[in-house]
Amino acid sequence: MRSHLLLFLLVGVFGCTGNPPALPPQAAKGSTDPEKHAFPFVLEENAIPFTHDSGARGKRYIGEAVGSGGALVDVDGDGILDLYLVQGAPDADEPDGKQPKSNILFRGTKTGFVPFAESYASGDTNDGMGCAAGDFDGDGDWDLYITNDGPDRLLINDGRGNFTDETEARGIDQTRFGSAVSTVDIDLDGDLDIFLGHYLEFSKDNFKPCMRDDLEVYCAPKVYPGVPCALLINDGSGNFTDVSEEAGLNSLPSKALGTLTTDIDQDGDTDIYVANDGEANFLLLNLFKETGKVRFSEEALLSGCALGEGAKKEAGMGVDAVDLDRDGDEEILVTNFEAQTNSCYRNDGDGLFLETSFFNGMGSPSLPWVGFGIRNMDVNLDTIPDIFVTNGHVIDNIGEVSSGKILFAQPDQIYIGSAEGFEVSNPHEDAPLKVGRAAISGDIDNDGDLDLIVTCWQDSPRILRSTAAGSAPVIGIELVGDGITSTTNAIGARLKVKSGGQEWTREHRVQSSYLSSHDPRQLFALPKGETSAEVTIQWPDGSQETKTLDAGSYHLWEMGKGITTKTAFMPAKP
Amino acid sequence: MGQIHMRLLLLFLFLSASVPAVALQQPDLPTLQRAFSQGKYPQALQVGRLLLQKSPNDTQVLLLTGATCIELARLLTDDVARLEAHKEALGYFKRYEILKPDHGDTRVHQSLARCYLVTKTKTEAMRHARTAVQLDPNSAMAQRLLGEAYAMMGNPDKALSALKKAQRLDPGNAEYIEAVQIQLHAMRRFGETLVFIEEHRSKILPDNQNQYLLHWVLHVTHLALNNIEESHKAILKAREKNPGRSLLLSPLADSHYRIGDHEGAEKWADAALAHPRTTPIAKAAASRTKGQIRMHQGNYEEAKRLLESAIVVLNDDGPTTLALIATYRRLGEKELAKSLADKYRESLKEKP
Repeated sequence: MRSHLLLFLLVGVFGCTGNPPALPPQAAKGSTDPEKHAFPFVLEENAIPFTHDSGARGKRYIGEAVGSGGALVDVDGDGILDLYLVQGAPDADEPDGKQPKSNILFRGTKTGFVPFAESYASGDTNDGMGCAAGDFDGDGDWDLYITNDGPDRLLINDGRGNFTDETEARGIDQTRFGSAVSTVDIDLDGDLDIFLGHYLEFSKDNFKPCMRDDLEVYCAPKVYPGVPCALLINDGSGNFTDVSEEAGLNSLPSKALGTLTTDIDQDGDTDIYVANDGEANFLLLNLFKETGKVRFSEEALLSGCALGEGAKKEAGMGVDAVDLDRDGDEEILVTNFEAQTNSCYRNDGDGLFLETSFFNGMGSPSLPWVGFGIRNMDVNLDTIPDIFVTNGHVIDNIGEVSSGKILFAQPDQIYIGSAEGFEVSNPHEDAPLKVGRAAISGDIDNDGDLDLIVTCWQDSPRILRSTAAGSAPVIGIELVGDGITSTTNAIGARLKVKSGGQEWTREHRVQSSYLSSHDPRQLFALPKGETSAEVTIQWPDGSQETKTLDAGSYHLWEMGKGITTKTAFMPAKP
Repeated sequence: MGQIHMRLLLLFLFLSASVPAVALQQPDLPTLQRAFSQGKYPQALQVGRLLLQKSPNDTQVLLLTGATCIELARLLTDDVARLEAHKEALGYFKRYEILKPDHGDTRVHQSLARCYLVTKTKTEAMRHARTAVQLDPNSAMAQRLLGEAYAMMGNPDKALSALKKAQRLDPGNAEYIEAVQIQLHAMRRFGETLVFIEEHRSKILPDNQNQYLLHWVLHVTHLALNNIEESHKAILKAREKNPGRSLLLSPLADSHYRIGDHEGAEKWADAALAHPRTTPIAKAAASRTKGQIRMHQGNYEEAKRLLESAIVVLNDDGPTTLALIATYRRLGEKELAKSLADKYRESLKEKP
């Protein structure tokens, strides 16, 4: 009887899905052999004068556990990435709640990040979560949208990094618990719309203490009801209207922590993938192209990307997309809780996915950890995508709860792609562990490789500065749309790069990972010995341009005008 | 239809177990006692029933016939037959209670608690389990029944406490370790299960016939933690300890599938499907495994046939549903996929 019951449990809960991708990385289990790969990163601790404050003051409100993110973007137009870091805040009536720390904008300089004191953006003291950079008013510079556990903010840039809070003036009234935010042109009218992930419905009034044995812990998201995501449509001049109801979002309570823009069905309009915490994920197919209306159809379950390995609802946190098997469409990657694999939904085309994390080596090594930020990047410039994941538990006293068996601060992981699959290791295993949250990528020293900013809960962010530059030929591309049939940020453009008999496909987006907005420039490593690549851009309106680009530079590619500026990479540091 | 036939057959076997003619002609208490102690439960049941036709208020026969029903139920693989056996036992013990209201026998309360647990009569199960523990606090079985009653009442912490107490009272019994594991599993405290097993496994002697159970429990726990390599090792070990256990065949197929060994998975799935004692659920699970393999092989028609047969039994099973949705989609049968997805989406709302 008992064994029979167990069999029933097993049958009901477990199973398997997926096959190895047809091309690398495939069919190998992950390993953690630290000798196998040298990681081209230098870890810089305390290089950014910022300490995250979750707002935790002893009550263990759920929202305190999951912040905060930031953005890497050149806001002052000097050619060097600046950094915007989002700060949490305590509730106003908590001890020292009246002295919240503010979000900070750091100016990128050749010697590091320096607080940009004059900017309004340095003064926002809301309880912050995520951030998206985008040219919302179409004037060619980068504005900022910040999600809060409370009213969101829209900061408009004057082009020199000075921001004005124009939230209300531009019709934004979003007071729910915001998490991830993605910029996207949903209605194909050439301006940036905003898709907002909302986490759950929490306030001090519905706070419930949660216990594990005799210890109070942060509650699981199941304790609180979900709330719908939101869609804000831009009128072309940077004023927004909330169309969540018409879009069909209000009937879909979510617990969103990660959002991703991606044209899943490749029909020319951008769809949205939402990673939900403890609930099935959403695949919101955009019906604009078919119907001319702003309307989503939620089809994740039907498409095979709603649930994790073994058909389980998982704790979706970060999300990213990359064409791992080089078949021209992107796999979706989602970070999850411990004892859940980080999901790898293989894209089989036609909007069909299979979860394959156990087959490609991503699964097993992710099981002990709680994954947050996830970012695909070619860290060793070998032309094969790698994946960086930053981990950190959500229960601050998990060590005590688990008698020391589970860590609160956890190691970061790099999944190095190869023809055999992924090899996994901690890129800085001698460094103290931190509680990782966002992983924001960008070429902060303009040397032609991707560096990372990793935000850490109640701690200072880390810089993982890549030293890979110079080890392989690389091309850099910055896309600028015409603002008429494509947003100026060219969100949704598709890049095809051919070199040395190989081909890579990538969809252009700026936000992914966890609460993160990345460097909008694209980098492609080429096979060793190659000096150029044939690059085709398919702009959001379907038009295509093809150019041959030389390695060693960033190319500013303006829609309809071609390459208008070419800037050589800075020399790699020895 | 085939499922119904199987159940009727099992019920028939249960109700009409063959008994030597002599015993039926001259049924007496010693015959009943002898059959019971020799583990000849079908025979004991027949004798007990005949004795009770003649002397319906014979308390000794009532007790022994009730106990026979419970022991027989342990051997049955069919849920319906098992439930019927407990219902019959319940009748005998209830009559015993009416005849001897002040019996004060913990074993009777334990038996009643067990019957009420199986028939899902929560409050009565709890009442008798509590009485059984009061009468004999050092009875491992009484503590275990109390734990199961707490679990049924939705009090997992008290359930766990009682089950752990039962295990401490009988540390050499792997079944009690399994009971704790089931409760920890229900509470999703998988890591704790591993610690618990590590702490107590040394108390199960290597030649204990339930050694396999330990490995089975490890398999289930590692599976819950998604430690596929460890769970696979554990089920192979369980199989090694008890090669005749048909219950392991289908999980062996699933385990091989999860580690990517489709050939091994197919072999064990075929073995499960061919074994006469494989339960309908386990057969469906084996069909699911074969269906998943066919889907990956691109043989969608065959995958559809296997998965459709599996889902009849494994109604809301996630892996079966997802594999079938994926198969329908790849066959271009989007409406079927949509209808299945809509149904599953509803069931997901209830799942943790």
